[in-house]
Amino acid sequence: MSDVTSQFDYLSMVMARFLKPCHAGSLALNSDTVSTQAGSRQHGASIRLWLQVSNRQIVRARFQAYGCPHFIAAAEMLCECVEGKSVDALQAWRWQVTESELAIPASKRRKLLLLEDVARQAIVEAQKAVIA
Amino acid sequence: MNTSIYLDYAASTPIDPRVAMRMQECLSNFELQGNPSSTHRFGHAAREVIEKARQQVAGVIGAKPVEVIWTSGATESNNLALFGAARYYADRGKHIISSKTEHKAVLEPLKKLEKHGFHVTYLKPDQNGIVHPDQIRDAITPETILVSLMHVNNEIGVIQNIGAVGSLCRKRDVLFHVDAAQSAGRLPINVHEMNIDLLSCTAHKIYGPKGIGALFVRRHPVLGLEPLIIGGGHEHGLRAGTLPTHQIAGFGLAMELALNERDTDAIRMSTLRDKLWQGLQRIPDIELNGHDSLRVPTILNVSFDGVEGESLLLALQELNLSAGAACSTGSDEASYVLRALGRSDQQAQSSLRFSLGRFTTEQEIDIAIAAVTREVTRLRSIAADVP
Repeated sequence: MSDVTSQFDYLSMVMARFLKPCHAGSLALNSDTVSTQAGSRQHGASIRLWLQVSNRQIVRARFQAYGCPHFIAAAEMLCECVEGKSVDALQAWRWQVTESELAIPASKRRKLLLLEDVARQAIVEAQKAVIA
Repeated sequence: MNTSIYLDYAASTPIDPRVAMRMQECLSNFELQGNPSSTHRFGHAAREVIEKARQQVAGVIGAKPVEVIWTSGATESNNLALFGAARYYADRGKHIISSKTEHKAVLEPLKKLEKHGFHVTYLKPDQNGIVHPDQIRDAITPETILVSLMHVNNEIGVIQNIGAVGSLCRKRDVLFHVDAAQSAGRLPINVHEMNIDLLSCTAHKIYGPKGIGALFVRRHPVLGLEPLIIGGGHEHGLRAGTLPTHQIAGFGLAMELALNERDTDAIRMSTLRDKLWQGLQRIPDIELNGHDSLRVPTILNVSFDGVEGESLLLALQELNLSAGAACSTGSDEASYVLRALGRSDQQAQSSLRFSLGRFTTEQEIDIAIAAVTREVTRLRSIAADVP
């Protein structure tokens, strides 16, 4: 069972990001764009992340996600944290901070680990893009 | 938020104002405040109110008033029926038959009985949620003492063939318990014609107060039951405790109103439910859960492919509804009822139960259709390209 039992158990920070995620969407795959994916709908949560990278700067970050409100809000928060920053910001991103800020129940931790997976893959891809 | 539409009548109905007024009369009349078991005038007055309500409840299910035992609700009624009958008749056999789609108030007592040496067969319904009487006939053994089957499923609204099951149970000398929490007052029930031995019902599903219910216990021939609560010997020694006069009066009137208004309510509800279903069907990739005709008009359960259930429920801020049974709302576990119908975890998890009632309006249905269409489209768009 989830620890969440009603809409009143979600923080306003979650509600705002879940109801109006500014970074939901996708980017056209060009030479300066990377895209990574983790999870599956079958297992209840899945995310695809797109980053447009220029000179080690993340110019734009977009995501698409299937999952619970916390997962969508956390994906939005990840994009907020890294857009406009260097790739190092993505490297420094920790799921524990998002878990704490959004008060995500421990029972949903495995979904946050998917965000970590997608972020790590993106770092690798972004570094490849920089090298190229 | 200005709009807040209640579409969770299967979880609980609001109290009908006429019922609330009746309860208020009881609560404000000093002469009705006595203990109904007392022999003085105040006790007698309270007792009269209770016996009138007992007649009202009995009348709706075709029982004799003496066969109605007051409880705190359907959960207690189910517990009393299952534990009471199993313990009383344990020397006859220790096999019980039920189904995988029963309410937790039946499944949990059965699990506990299993721990105490009883063997329970949980029948799997067909893909429409129907348990066929043949399945029960085939499952009965010489050890079988009890069959417990819900009349109407609380998540998908399908109606079981209680009369046929009752008939074969009676022929095989097996007790038959029916959880009628969702049907008493909504569907015609005659416990004697349907060969029902025990029947659970509750007030708060038919516009009565929470905290009061009843168990029908067959008296001819008398059925043995071991009580769960003992004390002052109330309710023929089957359920001790001072009776709550105002709750019982409210339950009685709610049942009478349900009976009087059953046909008009059913026509109105069917119209609204059909309108809702027609509106929702404009959304691609949705599926109705449960039989399309053997169903009550008040419940519509729909799977929305490609949408996560908890997200959909939260996104529909203007609607008050459930993903399934109220006890599992907000859970990311898929409904065990829908899984028993053969739905995948994902399908079961992407489902909503819309339950309509006496106070639902056409305008509310229009708002619900628009809100669900908007949010399903939005959430599908957020998840468009993820595998």
